[in-house]
Amino acid sequence: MKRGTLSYSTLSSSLEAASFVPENSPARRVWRRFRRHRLAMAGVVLASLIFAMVIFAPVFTPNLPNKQDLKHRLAAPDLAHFMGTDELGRDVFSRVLFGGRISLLIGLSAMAVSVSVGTLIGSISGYFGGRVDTAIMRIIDIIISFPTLFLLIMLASFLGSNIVIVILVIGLLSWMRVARLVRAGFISIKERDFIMAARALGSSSSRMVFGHLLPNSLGPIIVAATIDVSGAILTESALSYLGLGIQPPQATWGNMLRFAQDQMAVAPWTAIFPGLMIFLVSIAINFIGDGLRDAFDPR
Amino acid sequence: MWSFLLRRILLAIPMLLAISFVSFAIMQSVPGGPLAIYRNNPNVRAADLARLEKQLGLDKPMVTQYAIWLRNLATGNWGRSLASGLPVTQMISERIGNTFYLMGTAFILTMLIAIPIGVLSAVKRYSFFDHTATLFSFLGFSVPIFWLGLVAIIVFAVWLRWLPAGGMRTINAEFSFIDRLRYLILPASLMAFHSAAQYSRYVRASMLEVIRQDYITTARAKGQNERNVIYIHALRNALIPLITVVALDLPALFSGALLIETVFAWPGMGRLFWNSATRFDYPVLMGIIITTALLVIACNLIADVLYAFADPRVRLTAGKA
Repeated sequence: MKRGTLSYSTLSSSLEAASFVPENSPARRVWRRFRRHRLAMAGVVLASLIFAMVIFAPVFTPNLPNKQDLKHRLAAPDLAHFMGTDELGRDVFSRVLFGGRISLLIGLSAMAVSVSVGTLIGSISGYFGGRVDTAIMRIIDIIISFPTLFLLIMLASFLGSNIVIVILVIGLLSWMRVARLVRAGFISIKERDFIMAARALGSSSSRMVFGHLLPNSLGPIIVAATIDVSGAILTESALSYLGLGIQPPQATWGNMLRFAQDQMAVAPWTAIFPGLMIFLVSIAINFIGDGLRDAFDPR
Repeated sequence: MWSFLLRRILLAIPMLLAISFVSFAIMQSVPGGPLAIYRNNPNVRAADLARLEKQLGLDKPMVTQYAIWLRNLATGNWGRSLASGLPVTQMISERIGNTFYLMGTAFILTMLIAIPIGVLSAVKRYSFFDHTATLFSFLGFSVPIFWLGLVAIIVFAVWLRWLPAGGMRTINAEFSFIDRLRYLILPASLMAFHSAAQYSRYVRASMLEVIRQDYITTARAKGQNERNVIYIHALRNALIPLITVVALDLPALFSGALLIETVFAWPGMGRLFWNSATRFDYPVLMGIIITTALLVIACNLIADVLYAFADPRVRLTAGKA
């Protein structure tokens, strides 16, 4: 985790603040508290490791993910294939690494979609208040009262399963929490003195939102964004496991599990390793999210 | 209270309409229409397709079709499955009991795990136990539940051969409680583990909140022993917010049940939904969506009423939406 992601004041304030971060800036304080959170640091190490292995996959494995070797089908883990091979003799380790690219890409992109939409809608709701706010909150109530997976299954099976559709479907069904957080942040900040002052000085709406309200509610948004990545990875894997996400031969952690179920009596490694990766990434990200929450909001 | 109930039920109607209309619109907008599945079938002739379209009313505009579907729904005619030809109501009623059976067992197990862990974590805050419980809850909500199911099958069904890998009962066997239990134990306890990971955190937070309050200090000052203070005075109030949490969590429980039912080949409603989605069997999908929405709305209503009974400070008034 680079410091840049955490220094939320530098993102918002003027250029001087970016080049000169005082010893006791909010960003520094957040970073210092985050660094002391042991689980979060473990999460950072684990996540960096997995991201590095997935991004630089060819460095770590000589085998191609889709190369079949029918003579060595369902071979147990050994030195050549240390996660074994699958039903077509493909190297599970390579598929896990290359498939991880898709899974992580979907996780990050779907998070970007959900955070953008959530921030936009939450800002509208919190800034304007009144009837707009009531209407938006009711719509959110309706969406969250319905099992997301059911809608996802329906949309994915009807709209097809290319990567853009999967990203959009997951992102557009998970923005509600961010929207609520942004709205809550706006409503509590709106009453503070510095906002009154900004208003008295005649700040425009966009300056109010982008200059004051959003930067000051950035903490919870960053925390939610982090946890959303793990949520999106879990959702994608569930969809792919159900056969509705990304289709083979393109491997993802989820669709590898789908085929593993048929042969897990003879080749349990095909089921264990892809899921283990989902689990490790997800827990690493949740640890980071927990550390960020404590760092932004010390109790 | 009756005016409160009436208001809430009236408010639920636009919600049901919204959910059903959006679902209906999605299904109508499938490339090739609801009968897309027959279009790819070489045995189905164009004339048959046209006849079928007319018969099902698919040649009418979407809003008209929705109105017809809604009228039929209200009169109990939920349509027939495109895949099996069976009435949707019959298919759902055959499956819904199995889903309740699984979810109910999982729910009881969840409470049995989550409440003691949450209480102990709160009472011994920042202890070794508390940290372990925190870690456990992180494991619980980071693990993909279907993968945990696969691993459990590998361990308990394939390696140890203690339990069956899937299904709900031994085929052609007489009903026996032990048999049912053997099939139920893996799916139910995995669902429970997953939920307990979150609920134990709520119990802990709620318990910490209550312990700080004055009446707990009063109880201690009266010379009540610590066990009574915790388990009688504090716990009862700490559990009240759990009612709301459970009601809000219900949609997620349905999602979890769908995955678990798929992994363990449990003949429930979630698995029926998934099967129907892959076959574009839209009357069944619509039926399940409406059933689930009704259940969620009903449970939220029950939760509000229960809350008012559990906490006399809460009054149900028609004004409270």
